[in-house]
Amino acid sequence: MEIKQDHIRNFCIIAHIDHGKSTLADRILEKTGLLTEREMQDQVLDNMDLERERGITIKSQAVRTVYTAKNGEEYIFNLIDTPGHVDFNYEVSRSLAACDGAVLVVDASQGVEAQTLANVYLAMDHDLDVFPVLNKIDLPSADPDRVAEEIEDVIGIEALDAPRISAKAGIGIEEVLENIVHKIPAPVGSSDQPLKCLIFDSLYDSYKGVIVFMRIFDGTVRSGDRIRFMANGMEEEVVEVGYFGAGRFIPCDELSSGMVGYITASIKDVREARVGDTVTSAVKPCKEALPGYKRVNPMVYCGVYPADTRDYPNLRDALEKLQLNDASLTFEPETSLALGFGFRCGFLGLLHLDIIAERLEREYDLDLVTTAPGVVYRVYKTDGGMIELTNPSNLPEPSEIDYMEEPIVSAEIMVSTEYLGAIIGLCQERRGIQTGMEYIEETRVLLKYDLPLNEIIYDFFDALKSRSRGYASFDYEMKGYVRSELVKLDILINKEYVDALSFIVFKDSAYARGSKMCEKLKGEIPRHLFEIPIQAAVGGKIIARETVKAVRKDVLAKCYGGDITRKKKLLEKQKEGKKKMRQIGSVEVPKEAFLSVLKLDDE
Amino acid sequence: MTNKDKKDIGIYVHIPFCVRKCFYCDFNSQVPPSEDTVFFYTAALLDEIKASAGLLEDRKLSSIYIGGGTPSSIPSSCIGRIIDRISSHIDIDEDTEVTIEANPGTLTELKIKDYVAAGINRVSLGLQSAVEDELKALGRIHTFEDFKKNFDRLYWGGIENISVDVMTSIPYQTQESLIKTLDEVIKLRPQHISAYSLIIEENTPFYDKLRYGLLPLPTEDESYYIYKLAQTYLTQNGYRRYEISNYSLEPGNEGNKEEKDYRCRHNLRYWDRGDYIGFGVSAASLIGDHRFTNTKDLNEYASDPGRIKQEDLVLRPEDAMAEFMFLGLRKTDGIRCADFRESFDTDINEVYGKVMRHHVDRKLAAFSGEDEERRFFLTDTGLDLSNVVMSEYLLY
Repeated sequence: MEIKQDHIRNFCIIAHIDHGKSTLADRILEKTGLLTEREMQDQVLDNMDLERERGITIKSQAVRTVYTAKNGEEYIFNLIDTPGHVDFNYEVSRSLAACDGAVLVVDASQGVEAQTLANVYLAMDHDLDVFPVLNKIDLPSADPDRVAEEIEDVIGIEALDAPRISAKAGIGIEEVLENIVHKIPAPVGSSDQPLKCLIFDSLYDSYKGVIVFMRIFDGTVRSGDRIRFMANGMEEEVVEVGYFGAGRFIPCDELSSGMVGYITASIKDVREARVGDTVTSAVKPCKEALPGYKRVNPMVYCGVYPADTRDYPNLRDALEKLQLNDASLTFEPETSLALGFGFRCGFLGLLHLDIIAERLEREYDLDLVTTAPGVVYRVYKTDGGMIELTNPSNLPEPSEIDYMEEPIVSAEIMVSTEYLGAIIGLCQERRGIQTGMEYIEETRVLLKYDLPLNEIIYDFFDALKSRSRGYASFDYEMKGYVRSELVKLDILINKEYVDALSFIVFKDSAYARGSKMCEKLKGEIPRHLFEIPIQAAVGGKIIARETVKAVRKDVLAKCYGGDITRKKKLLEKQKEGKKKMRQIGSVEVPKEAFLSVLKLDDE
Repeated sequence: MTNKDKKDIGIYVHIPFCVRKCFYCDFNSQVPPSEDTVFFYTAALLDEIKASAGLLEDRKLSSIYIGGGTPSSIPSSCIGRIIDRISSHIDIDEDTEVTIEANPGTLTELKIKDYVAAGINRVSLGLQSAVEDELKALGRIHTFEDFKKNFDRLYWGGIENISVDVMTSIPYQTQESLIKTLDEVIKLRPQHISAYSLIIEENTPFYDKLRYGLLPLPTEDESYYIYKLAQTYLTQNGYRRYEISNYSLEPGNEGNKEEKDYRCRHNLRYWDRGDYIGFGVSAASLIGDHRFTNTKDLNEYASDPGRIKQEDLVLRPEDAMAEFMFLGLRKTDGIRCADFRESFDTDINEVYGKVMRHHVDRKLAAFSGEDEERRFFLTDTGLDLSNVVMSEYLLY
């Protein structure tokens, strides 16, 4: 089939989490015949088990399908699925840049949420044509008229004639497909121009090397062409070009302007084909790269250690393998007195960290100890130098520090007025500075805050959910660095300094954090035959203390009827438990102690 | 073979029935059983004893222990038949210690008469506490009065060796209330007292209550003081602590003018790793280096008591050595180093020298005696922390 450029539709679906993005994507694929019902596995686009379980998209995906419209014409649909979490905002922006339009899915009972807004604004920033779809109209609580009005009021796009659908029940899907044909523009650009493609994702394959996902804006690319990656100047010969079938790669002869597809070119490392880079011809290059490319840097760092020290080489192998497919994951070896050999790893955010840690444990069968995640602080030294601090243990002596800066984000929180007070309170506790407040409706408010990143990386989202009974939604983006009064909080167990438990904290929060940490650790460190002081210190000064009392009695009851095996099992358990402990001085500390301090706020 | 050359053996008989389950008990028992169940179970026991006759051949019977559950809850005729069956395969002489566990709420004069006639010479009475509120909280079916009445009946019925169980760290207990319980017990001069700390086991009403914070247990500190108080108080009143939780009336005291050793011979057999054979559902046996356990399923057991001794576990030398230590060290006089050499043909220092020294350095253990009589035992502190200490004698 010959592909006419004006019969191509490149689009994505944007939505707040759980508003039905993936379900709608699946329905579109099903209705256009790409998948028979038998082939349908729920949510085809979310490939990883983890994605399915968490119900969120982690990596970008793309798929091509053909739709025969009511006017009898065949249209090529390229559906690009975008990651659905703030950690991956840059990837989202690049995926959007690869599209010409977006389908906005809004839950017909919940209405506009923080992510809805953030995603719409992001799409509009990329000049995408957005049309809304009201989903879940089969729910008893659905109120499509109200939500349509809300979309018009809040977002300012036409919504009264928006398709009213239920992706789950398969209601109204045809209408969505017709809307895609008529409301999303065909790609512009010309095959006669020099090649200009946007990388929106890449994937490492052990046979093909790196598979580069691209949107072609101008020109044509075929196998054998010499191409150039404009950010790093690397040149390669194209080995294969193709497009995306359902869960597989389908080679084709060429990709030309307006199309979405992939190339391979014996590239070994995903970091050589970075998301956002422009690919052009090495022979006849385009003049300018596409705008918007940037190198994303990790925002959150933590130490990752094997629970069993012998697993260190396995952990390194596993991290290397994960990095093959994840250009934003960084790691370098570090050594902790308490935890032995491990790695300081950098992540885009806490979700990214969670996902990597979970994949390491699940796919590579590793038992991990992770230290408290921290953000990147800027330490300005008295000698005029500046260091970006990713490991609290490396903080210079106080006398060498002139001042420090911490990263802040601008956040948008959507909350119903009922919980407004609670959420404002939370933001204040977390050192937030209010920058705006808008009433979306009578009962819903959009709060804008600047918040220090280190105040939201741990448990802000959980706290937000619990204080609003789930009725608040939240989105943020990096804003920059501001000067702040920061100190390093150290923990001493039985007078021994435990490097793995140190972290940087706002000066005025040090006492509260320190007390809470001591309290938590007290609950996690088993009683020993001697008393164990647990202390929190700032700059050598003890600010909080708890004591794990000495165990004085630990006795087996009688042996019923000479059943020795049962008693022996108890002793074995006692001995086994000991083996899993980390030795800090003469104190045995269980893995759980290191993890417990990650969850300090039990709201 | 003369009697003297025969190797000793002990017999345990398990009666898995109770009138009601106590709130702390996770033991495999039927409450309350139907008459038929008791009848079939007894028949099965008789079959098992018969089928095991070979194991009793050329042995000298040192003790029988009928435990449970609540052995006194079933008809005394059943107990009689069981002892009869045993005696048809192995001699029960006047030296043989024959114990039955009894709940004060289930004894009658008639039952006691039958027990004595059957050859029972020791009764272990489960009192647990002399304080009514504490008894109720434990889910016991008897009162303190029931206990006193039956203690007298046993005494006048001719049982000259009575043991009383008391519990520490139980709901509502205080140091004062423990003294009250101990005073009441000591007044009666039983030959033996067991003082166990309550342990909360999973799958018991107590476990659930504890999880919901509804169990009024003494605080950890109070619990420790109660536990130590029991030791001091009993010791001061003429009872010798010979094992972590067991006390016997010392010779020369009122009630033991004849200088008899009232330590429980059957239980000592467990700590000394002497041979014993267990009859009944879930009963355990040790014969040489074999540990057997019967099925825990009552129906399975009753349907085929002849196919006994499931789960035949052959102890490796390192298992046996660890047992030697963690069982022997439960006794206050600990282990005799020469016994280790005799049992394993290895010097104890080669295997445990390092850990023994470590425990001595930390005052958790000590040595006594010289050469052949050299013994190694846990100090009071070591006994208090016996779980920690003993786990270090496991060899893997």
